[in-house]
Amino acid sequence: MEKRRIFFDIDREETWLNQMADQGYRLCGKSWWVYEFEKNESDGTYRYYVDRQSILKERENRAFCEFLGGMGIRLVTSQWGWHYFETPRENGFGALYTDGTSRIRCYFRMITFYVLLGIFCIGIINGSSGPYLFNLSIPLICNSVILLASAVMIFRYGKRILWIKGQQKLKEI
Amino acid sequence: MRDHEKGGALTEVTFFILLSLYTPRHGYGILQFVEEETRGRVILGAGTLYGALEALVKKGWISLFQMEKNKKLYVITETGKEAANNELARLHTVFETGKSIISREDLTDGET
Repeated sequence: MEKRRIFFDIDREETWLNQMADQGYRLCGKSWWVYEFEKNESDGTYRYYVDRQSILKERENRAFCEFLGGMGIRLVTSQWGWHYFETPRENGFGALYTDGTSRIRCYFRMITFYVLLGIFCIGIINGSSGPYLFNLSIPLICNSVILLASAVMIFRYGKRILWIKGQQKLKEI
Repeated sequence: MRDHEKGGALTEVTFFILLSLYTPRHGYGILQFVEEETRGRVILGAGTLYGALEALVKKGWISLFQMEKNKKLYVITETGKEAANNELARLHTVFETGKSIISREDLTDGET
């Protein structure tokens, strides 16, 4: 089965994949915005993690995936730095990151991505013209929407980072 | 995983990882050890554990023991044992101070 979705929020994407797993759908691949699932015999056998790694650090990423693989957390697929991991629920793993510092690092990688995407969109908007739909430039509209979404996500991730930092401060007194 | 800068205190997670590696263990073994020894109070994420192990190897407190299939086994080093001993001594002082004050309070409460 194929599902088409676009997620800007990495946490919501993870929640959605786990909800799909609850219904017995197992992720087997992703390309662009198409998620491929196969029906599993029993519901909720697997747990999913979505993580973002820097695409420039190929060697570190591989070491990280190998480490997780050794623990029974398998890399299903990866796309532009997004990594999708799967593990049987019976392993009893909770979240991938249980400390604030690594979660902040993951959110920072997301912010970096949206900043770059935003800059890219501004570039397109500046040079945009056709094709047109009802006299409106399609690139102009599409890129404005993406730009707005990027800005919202940068703000949201920023808010989450500040919240985690606040929690850490309480612990450090 | 942040160790207190001034007091040299270790975080609980660091301390438990060091304790778990007195016998060589791989990632999953460490997670199980920490969960069992803290009776499920401290549960570590796999990604967090990876970062912690990397940091501890860099510090020289633990080292790679051997490869078993595709799993890395880690073990504590002499420097790591020293750090664990220091932490135990610090915890002992904290415990003694706390106990002496709190039990004194209990006594005065009992008298009145």
